[in-house]
Amino acid sequence: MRFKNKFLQFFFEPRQDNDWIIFFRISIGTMVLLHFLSVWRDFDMLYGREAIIPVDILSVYTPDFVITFDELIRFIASLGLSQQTSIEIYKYLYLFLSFLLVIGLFPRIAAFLLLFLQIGLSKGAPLYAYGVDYFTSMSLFYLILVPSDFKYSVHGFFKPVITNFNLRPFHRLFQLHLSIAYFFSGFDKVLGFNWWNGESIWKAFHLPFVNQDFQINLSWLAEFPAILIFLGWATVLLEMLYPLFIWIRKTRKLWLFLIIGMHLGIALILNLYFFAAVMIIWNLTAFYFDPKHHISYMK
Amino acid sequence: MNSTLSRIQKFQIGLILFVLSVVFISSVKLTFDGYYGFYYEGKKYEPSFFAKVFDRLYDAPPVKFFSTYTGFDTGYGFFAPNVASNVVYVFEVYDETGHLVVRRFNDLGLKTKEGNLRFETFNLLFLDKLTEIGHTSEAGEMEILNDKYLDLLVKQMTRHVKKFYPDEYKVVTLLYLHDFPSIKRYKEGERERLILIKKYAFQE
Repeated sequence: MRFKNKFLQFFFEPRQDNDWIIFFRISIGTMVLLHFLSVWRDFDMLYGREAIIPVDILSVYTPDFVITFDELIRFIASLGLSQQTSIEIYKYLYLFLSFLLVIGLFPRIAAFLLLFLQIGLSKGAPLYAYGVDYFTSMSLFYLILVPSDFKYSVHGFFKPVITNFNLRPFHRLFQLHLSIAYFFSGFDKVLGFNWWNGESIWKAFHLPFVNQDFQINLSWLAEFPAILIFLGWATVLLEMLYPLFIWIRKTRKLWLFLIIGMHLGIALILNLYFFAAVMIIWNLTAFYFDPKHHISYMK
Repeated sequence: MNSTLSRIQKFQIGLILFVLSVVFISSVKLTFDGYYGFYYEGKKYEPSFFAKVFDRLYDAPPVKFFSTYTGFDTGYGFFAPNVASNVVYVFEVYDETGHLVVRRFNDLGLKTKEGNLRFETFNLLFLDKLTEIGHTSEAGEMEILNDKYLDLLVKQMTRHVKKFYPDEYKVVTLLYLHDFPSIKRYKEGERERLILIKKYAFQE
C-alpha cells in the first residue's frame, strides 16, 4: 500500500506549474526551424532533383511502411505540380509547421504533421541521419502527446486555453526516458576498453571533421594522458550515474551543470551544435523545471 | 492522494510503460549490436540468448512501427563502445591529356556546415569495407550486395563531381581510411595518415 501511494504520488501528484512543456515547445520549435534552415542551401544536393545520391538509392534500407520524402514528393507532384514545386511546398510547409510550434498555434497538430515530414526525410535518407534527428523525432512525439498551448501561445492569446489535464505523468515519462538514455550512453561506452585508457577521447578530438570551427590545438594532451583518461572516465561516470544523481535533490544541480557542460564541450570541440542544443533542451526540460518540493521524499 | 487509479490514469500508466519498454528494448538491442560489432568484427559469432530476444522484440511489428515513426528506434551509445575512425574521399580530376588538374578532399561542393556534416555521417557506412578486406573469400551474399551498393554510392558521388568539369575530363575517386595514431604512437612521432581502401575509376 505504501509503495502504491509512493508510485501514485510519483506519477500523478499535480504540479502547480507546467512551464517545462512550454519551454520545450518553444525551444524545440526554434531548434527544428534553425536546423532545417541550416541545410537550406544544400537541400537540393542532399534530397532534391540535383541530389548527389538520388533519394531512391538512399532509401534502399528504409522499411516499406515508412512514407519517405521521395514518395511524398511524388504524391504532391501527382496533383499536377512539378517536382521542384513539390519540393518547395515541402520545404516551406516544414518551416511553417516549425513556426506554428514556436508561437503555439495548434501545436499538437503541427507536431504531428511535422513528425510525418521529418520522418519522411530522416528515414527516407537514413544514411544522412544522426543523433539529433532521432531526438528531434522523439521531441515531436512528446509535443503530440502533451498539450502545450495553455501559455505563451497565439492560440491562448485569442482564446484562453483551460487545461485541467494533469501533465505530471508525462513529465515523469520524459525524466525516466532521459535517465535510461544516459545510463545506456555511459554503459555502451564502458563496454569499449578505449574509454578506460583515454584513447577514445583522444581519437574523438582528432577525427578528420571535428574541431574545424575553432581549431583548438589539443595535441599537447598526448603529453598528459592522465587528463585524457580522466575525461574518458568522467564522461562514462557522468552518464552512467545520471539516473542516480539527477534524482537526488542535493546533487541534481551539480549533475545538471556537469552534463550541460559536457554537451557544451561537444559543441565547442566536436562542433555538433544542434545535437548539443537538443540535449541541453532535454536536460533543462526534464530537470530544471522540477519544483524542489516534489522530489523531497527522494533525498 | 486518492490511491485508486481512474481509467485515464490506468491508460496513462499503460502508455508510460509501453514507451519506456520501447526505450529499453532499443537501448539493449543496440548495446548488443555495438558490443558484437566491436569485439566480433569480421568474425563469425553466435549471439547470446538475450541478444536474440531483444532483436526479436525490437523487430516486433507494433514496436518497430511505433519506434520507427517516433525516433525511438535509436540507441544512445553515441561514440560507443569505441570512437569509429572515418573515411576521406579524394576526387582526382584529370583533363583530356591525362594531366591532374585538381585533388578535391571530401569536397562535393556542399555549401553548408550541416550539409557536410550529414555527408560525414554517411561516410561511416564505408568503414564496413575494411571488415571485408581480407575476408572476401568468406563474404556472403549480403556482403557482396552491400559492396555493390557502396560502389554505386561512390559512382554517384563521382558523377556529381564530374558535373563541375568539361565532358572530356575524368574523375577518379580514392577512398581512404583516416588513421590517427594512438597516444603512444603519437608521442613516438607518428602523425595522421591516409590509408587507401579502394580506388574507383568509372567509365561513363
